[in-house]
Amino acid sequence: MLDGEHRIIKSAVRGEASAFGLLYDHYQPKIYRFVLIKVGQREDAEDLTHQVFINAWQNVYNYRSLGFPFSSWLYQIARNLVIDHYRTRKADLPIHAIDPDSFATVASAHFSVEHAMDMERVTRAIQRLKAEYQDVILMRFVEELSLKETARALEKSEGAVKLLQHRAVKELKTLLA
Amino acid sequence: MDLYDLLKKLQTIEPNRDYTETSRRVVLSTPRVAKLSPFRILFRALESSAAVLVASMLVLIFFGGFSVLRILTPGAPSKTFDPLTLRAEAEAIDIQIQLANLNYVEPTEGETNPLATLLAMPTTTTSVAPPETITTENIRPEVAEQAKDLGLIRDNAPDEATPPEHLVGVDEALDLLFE
Repeated sequence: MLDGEHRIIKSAVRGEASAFGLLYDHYQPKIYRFVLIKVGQREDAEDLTHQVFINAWQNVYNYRSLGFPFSSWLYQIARNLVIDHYRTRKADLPIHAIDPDSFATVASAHFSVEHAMDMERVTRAIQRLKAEYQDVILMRFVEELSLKETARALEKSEGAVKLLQHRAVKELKTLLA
Repeated sequence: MDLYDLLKKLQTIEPNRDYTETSRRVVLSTPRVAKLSPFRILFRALESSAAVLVASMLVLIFFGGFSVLRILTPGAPSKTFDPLTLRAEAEAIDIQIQLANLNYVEPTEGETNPLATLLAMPTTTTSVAPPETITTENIRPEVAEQAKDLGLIRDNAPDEATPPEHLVGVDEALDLLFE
């Protein structure tokens, strides 16, 4: 959660672009990661992430702080846009269509080849999961959202999230084995 | 390697810097959708109804035969003036004035209203037929007496028949009454 997030959000709701800019800087990489791992294509991920923040900026006055971080609201928008993205495509992305360059840049710059291969392997495994499992895995273990925040973003109860998480981890382990 | 450590490696994924800068600039320059408050809805409703009202008035004026020239040239006679109508209206006003000027005077006891007496008299006509000769013999004596008092019948010899020139016409009688 961003320092002084409530104050920044209030300013953004009043229409201050600079305040929303701070929110953008903080949450844009997280949303981009979430979308990229789900859709697999860098261009699609960029387009969808951009659209997430356009929608958020245009509707930020509808946001009501209920004790959850702003990220839960952004993840909701992102999830809905990814769902719409797949609806319009009318086909699941085949595994071979994952863009390896999406990870290559970061991997080659900072990490070893082994690290990059691990990333690619786990990403492909995640993409073979159901959408709900993907969401839980990414929010709970990649973005490290709390159970409450994840439940809020997925519009489910905490108990349902726990159950989803258990099944998702189990299935992911099977895929990586 | 542990699954959770593998998943944490995905945190190193970051968007392209150029893309981020461009997207940020575009997002923040996008105009925001105006929030629809109740006041704004009411204002829009009033605005719409006022526009409809003005448009309706313009249509009525346009198709209702309204002419600006009538307002701009007040001295010009209007085509709607009908001389016959004007004359009828003037006559009606005249009659109303005459009726308003009529007063009914209640005669006192012992006094005979001369007008009533006159009305009771056989009227002379201005028709083509020769007027009936009025003499003191063919009217009632009390009426003749009243007429004499008022000077309507000139005093002649009682036995002598009144010649036509001694008779007084209605107009003359009215003049005498007014005097």
